[in-house]
Amino acid sequence: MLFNDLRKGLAVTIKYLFTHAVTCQYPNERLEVPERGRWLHKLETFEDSGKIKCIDCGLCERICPSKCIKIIPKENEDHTKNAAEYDIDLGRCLFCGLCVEVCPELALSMTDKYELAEYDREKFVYTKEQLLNVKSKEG
Amino acid sequence: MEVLIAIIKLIIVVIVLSFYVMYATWYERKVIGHMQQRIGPKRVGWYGLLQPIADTLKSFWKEDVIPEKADKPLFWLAPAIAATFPFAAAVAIPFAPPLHLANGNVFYFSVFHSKIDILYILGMMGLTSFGVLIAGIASGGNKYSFTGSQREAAQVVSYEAILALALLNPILMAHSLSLEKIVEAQRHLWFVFYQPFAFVAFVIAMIAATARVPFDLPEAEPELVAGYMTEFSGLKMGLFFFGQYVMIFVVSALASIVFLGGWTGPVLPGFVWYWIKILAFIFMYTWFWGTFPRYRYDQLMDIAWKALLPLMVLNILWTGFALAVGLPVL
Repeated sequence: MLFNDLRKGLAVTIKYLFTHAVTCQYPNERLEVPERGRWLHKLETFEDSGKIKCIDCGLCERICPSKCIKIIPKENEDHTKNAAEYDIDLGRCLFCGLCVEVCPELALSMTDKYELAEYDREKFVYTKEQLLNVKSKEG
Repeated sequence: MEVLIAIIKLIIVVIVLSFYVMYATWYERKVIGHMQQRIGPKRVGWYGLLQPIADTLKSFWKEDVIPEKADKPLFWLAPAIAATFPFAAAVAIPFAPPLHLANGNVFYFSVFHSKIDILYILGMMGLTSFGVLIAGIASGGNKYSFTGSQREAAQVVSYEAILALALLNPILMAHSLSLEKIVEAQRHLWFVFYQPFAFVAFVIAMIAATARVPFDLPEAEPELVAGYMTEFSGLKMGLFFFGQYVMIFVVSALASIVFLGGWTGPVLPGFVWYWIKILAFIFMYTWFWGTFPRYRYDQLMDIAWKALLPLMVLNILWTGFALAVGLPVL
């Protein structure tokens, strides 16, 4: 038929004219992020006692390829160790997730928070308090 | 009195066409957006309806850059030509069917009415391309501008002949150059059913005449930046757009009058039929824009000179023969 190729193209575009737009209007609405995505870290606590799970084994500090984790330990009265300070410099972090993989106590996890832009480099250094209080959508 | 009415009509036409151009951009962005599963303008006003006003205001405050090597007088002249001649063509286009007054006079809804409307419109459309050609020369040796204008030149010699030859068939059948008489001649059956080949040829030529996809060679954004408009900014670029959109209106109205019977049609009043046809053509432009890739300019010349021109000449010969012998033209 005459203009068959052109006709096919026109049929496609007119079909899509009446379908819904796929645009996600970002600040107003957000896409569902993948379940196992690697975004902002979170320090876990015990549910019953509320104590920090981290035992300062230093594995995350060692495995981190960009050396952005810094832990200062403290000794408790019962001679166990915990982290007194736990800083992650997200300005250097490459979100590989190795720290989460390696943690023997499951004290570190990754949440679905991904809007981490800041105006200052200093603000990228997340302290222990900030990392403990990260709220993920799943709770 | 006549002059006063003409001036009032002219002012109304300019205002109406300005609003048409502004909202044509909004409409095109919206339709193209949905064709690509986007949303299009939506932030300024309800459904982005104030977007064209914002864009127009913005273009007034844009910096008006004139290249150092540019030919200054021509650089001013080019957008002026590109914007005024489409308007000159639009004054002969009726905006509604003529009104037969009680005292026997006829009130025309076009600023300028004569027996040779088609000839006048074709002449003004031909002059429009000079705006583009001058823009290329005036841009001070910018290669994109120059290539764009060169392509426009190649395009003009291709489509102008086809445009006129395709219009010749309905003119032959109506025995008149007046738009009103041509519409009158299609009372019973529209010319598109008598002259399907001429209609297709006219549609191709009219897309080339307005330099829209798939024949937007002088602009050719991916290859030529913005073609002949590369060096123009702010209001000057706005004027080029203005001319292009008015031109789209002119050829759409012309096509609906000459081939689709203008304001003739069953049931609905003439005014409604007329605007449905024009808007259908304007939608056709957008639809093509959202669909087709661009032809090369040698391909355009091939289409025009090797396919359409012989076809149109044969078509005219057949129309003339059939009319002379009294056969039904088909």
